[in-house]
Amino acid sequence: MAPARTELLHGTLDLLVLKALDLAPNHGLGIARRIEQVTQGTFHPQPGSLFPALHRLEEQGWLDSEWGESENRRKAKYYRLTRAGRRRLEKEVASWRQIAHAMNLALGTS
Amino acid sequence: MPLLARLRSLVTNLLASRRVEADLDDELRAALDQLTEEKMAAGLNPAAAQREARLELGGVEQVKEEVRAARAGAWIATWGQDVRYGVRALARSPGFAAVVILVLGLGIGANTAIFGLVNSLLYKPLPGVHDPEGLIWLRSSWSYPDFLELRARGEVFSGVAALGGTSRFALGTAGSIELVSGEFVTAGAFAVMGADIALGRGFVPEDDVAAAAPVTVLSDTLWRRRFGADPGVIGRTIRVNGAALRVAGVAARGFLGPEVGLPRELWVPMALHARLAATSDDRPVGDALADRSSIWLNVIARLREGVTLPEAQAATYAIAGQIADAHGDRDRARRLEAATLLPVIGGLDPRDRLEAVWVAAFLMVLVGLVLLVACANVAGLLLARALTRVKEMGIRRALGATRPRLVRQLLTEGLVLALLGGGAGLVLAGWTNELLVALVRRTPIAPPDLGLDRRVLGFTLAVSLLTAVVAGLAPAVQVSRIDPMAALRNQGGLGTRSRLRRALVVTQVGLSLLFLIGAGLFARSLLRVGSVDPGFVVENGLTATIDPGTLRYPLEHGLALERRLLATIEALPGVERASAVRYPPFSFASAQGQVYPGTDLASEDGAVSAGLNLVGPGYFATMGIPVARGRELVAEDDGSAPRVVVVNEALARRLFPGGDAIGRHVRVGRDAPPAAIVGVVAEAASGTAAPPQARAVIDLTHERDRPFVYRPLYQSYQGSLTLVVRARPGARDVAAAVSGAIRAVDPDLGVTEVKTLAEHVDLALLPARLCAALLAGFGLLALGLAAIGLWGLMSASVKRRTHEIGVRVALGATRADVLRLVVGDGVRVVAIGVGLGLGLALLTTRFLAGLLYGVSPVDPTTFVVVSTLFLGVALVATAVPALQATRVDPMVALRAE
Repeated sequence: MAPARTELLHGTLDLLVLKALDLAPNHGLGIARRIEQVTQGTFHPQPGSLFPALHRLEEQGWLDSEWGESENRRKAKYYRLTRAGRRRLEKEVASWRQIAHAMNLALGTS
Repeated sequence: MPLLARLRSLVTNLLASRRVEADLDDELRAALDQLTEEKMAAGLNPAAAQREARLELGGVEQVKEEVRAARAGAWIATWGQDVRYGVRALARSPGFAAVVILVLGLGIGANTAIFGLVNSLLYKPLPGVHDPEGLIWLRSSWSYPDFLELRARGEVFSGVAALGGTSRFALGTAGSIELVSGEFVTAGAFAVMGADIALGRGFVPEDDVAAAAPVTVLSDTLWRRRFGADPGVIGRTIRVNGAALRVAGVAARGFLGPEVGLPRELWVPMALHARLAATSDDRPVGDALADRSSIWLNVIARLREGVTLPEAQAATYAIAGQIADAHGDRDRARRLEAATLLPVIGGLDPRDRLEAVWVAAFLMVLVGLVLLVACANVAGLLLARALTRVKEMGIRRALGATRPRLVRQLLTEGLVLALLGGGAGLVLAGWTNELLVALVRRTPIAPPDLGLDRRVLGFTLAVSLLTAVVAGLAPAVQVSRIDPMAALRNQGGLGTRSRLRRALVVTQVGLSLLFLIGAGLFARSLLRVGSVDPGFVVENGLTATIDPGTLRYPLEHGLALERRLLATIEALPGVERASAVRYPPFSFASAQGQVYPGTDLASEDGAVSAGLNLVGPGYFATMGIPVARGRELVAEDDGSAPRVVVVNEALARRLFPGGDAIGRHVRVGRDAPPAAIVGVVAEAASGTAAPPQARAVIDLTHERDRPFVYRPLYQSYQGSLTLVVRARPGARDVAAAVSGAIRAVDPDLGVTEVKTLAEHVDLALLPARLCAALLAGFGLLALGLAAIGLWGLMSASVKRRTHEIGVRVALGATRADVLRLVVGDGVRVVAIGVGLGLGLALLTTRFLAGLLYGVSPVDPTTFVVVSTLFLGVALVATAVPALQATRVDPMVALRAE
């Protein structure tokens, strides 16, 4: 059974997007698929929030975009991490780990 | 760098918005296509796949809106869009836009015009004066020796100067004498006042000593008028009051002294006072500069940098105290009062300022009401227009526009309209101001400077923005509440909006009525003022002002000249009688003093404050002022005869309530010699005490009932006096004959233009008439706006109820029934509004009591007439749509559904 879809924590979508682009550039739908896949279906980003997030991250200089061809030979807009984006990802990951660790401690998870 | 990246995106978003939009469009279309393909690959047929894909994406347009909102500078970009959209929408209905801009233009224009007037009166610095901050008056109670001590010790000031007040100077030589207004000032006065000297120099300390070579400074106006703007005038010798003065300088253009409305055209050093001042009994001459009890100077000072007003005030009080100590402590209270610092704000005398502020506040409230009516009117129009756009709004909502976005869109449209209205208002205000200045130019009052400045423009902008919110918010919120589905199905849900429109019209009716009642009360009051019998006969009356004092004749010579003048003029063929007076009626100049009954010099009992005047023999007969008891003043009442006076009935009543005043003695001034009352005359308007700016309207009305005492001209020599001439009915060219006679008697005598008494009265009534015209204009404007609002409401209502009316007619309703239905509807709205307006008026008009003359604040005539007028106009505004309603063809109406 697929696990229940969980609401994204406020602010985590940006981190997930950055992480999803860590390995290779991808287009919007691909990013959504990838997030769904790596979180084993827990998160399912809605286009209504994913696309604004992509544009916002691009405007902040963390993503770059160019038009390319998708796996089924269609035109698609590909996003990739910039160097600033990569640094941002490292920072975000570190701070997330810290929070997660602290939350685990606080909640007494084994 | 993220910041740079953001800036770049901001620029791209704003400047290349089309490309950015196309890009977004492509991106989402690609995503949709890809999703569709995936669904088809999973086995769905194309149509189902496409529907599934759309559902999953959640609406391309909505996603686009979200992305746009997330963009850098989204706010600016969408706002720009709103503005463009608003302008386009308005361009599509130019009629509507024109009406709204006109209505707002009238409302804002009225406010701008009045604010411009208030601004120029209260805040505009004196013309030709720079750095008005730090300028301070110490008014009219300084003797020259006291002033010298203040100047010597006034370390808190960077400069102190004494000004002698305006006096008349005879400029030129025999045959070309011109009387000009000028002032004695101490050295450095121009620097203290902040006035520049355009040519030559101002007065230096070396000019301001009794033995100095006499010099003068001319105003720019005098320099142009009399000397043809010749720069070579510097160093030339001119004749002033018979003395030769060298022209030292010409003041910068615009500077006419420190008092608005009282221009000076000539300045002379204070030290020349004894050699130059016009002679007369009531003005200190000769040793005036040495006499510590001779109090006649205004002092103007400039705060030293870094000194605060309270510090300066404390220091000045201390100096005044020391002066009092050093001179036997006499007049300590008077000296302290004279040491009160009055900061100069704008060009108005600080003592008149408070009163002017009240008048200004009153005017602003009035025009504010007009603007409120205009706002309510425009709100109604916007709402009516919004109803025709229900579908458009519904579609925009369905396409993803959020409610705040729609409200903003509608407010932006309102803003575009309000700013255009503000522009129209500026144009209208410009016309009004031109008209006003043109009217004032026909009078001796200096026209106010009504040019636009930053304050007026800022005010207009602020009022326009406020208007946009006040008029636009309610309709915008109402419209944004539209349910998109209902709107698309063609159901507006009209109930609440119609209620709001009704409320707006009720507001307009109420406020307009309130305004009309206020204006009506004022107009009635002003009409009373205008029809007030001045107490003298206006027809065939002429006046000419002369100043033998400027010739500096000895007293005997001067008196002889006056007798000769009157005799010569009375002998002219067209002249019935002639006399002379110190302060002619409505001349904005007068004297005021205490009149003490009895001969006992020590007694101060029963003193009455009265206006003082000096009149020649036969003055009352010449003016047509009835002598109630006793006799008129005659030529024999001169220096060799016993001292006598004539009082008016108001003063006689106050001084001797019980008995006859004739034969009783009074003293004009506590220490003055007693004089016998020989006559009691009827009340008549005399010299007006008010300065020509703010008080004229109000003071005029109280002028007649003031106690007055008239002293004989020949018992006290007067330098300046006005000849009054009663021409024979039908006589022609009397004015020229009078001027000629004056020149013939003494060619050295300057004379002002000969004027008719009617001109004097017209001038005095001008402010009242202007005010009445202004109020009537605004009142009609408010009435017109309310009528338009009512008419619009009724037309819309008839249109909406066409179907209902059709049904009624089909079921047998007669035309009269339909008429009654619609008119009844309108009458209800008007009745509520009128009730509201009357209630407000009853509550508020009492605050006008102080400004009204001879009219009660709840004057029934005004209330009834205005309400009737209002109901009449309202009935017409309702009747037109009602008549339309009676022409509804039931078949057409029913088929329309």
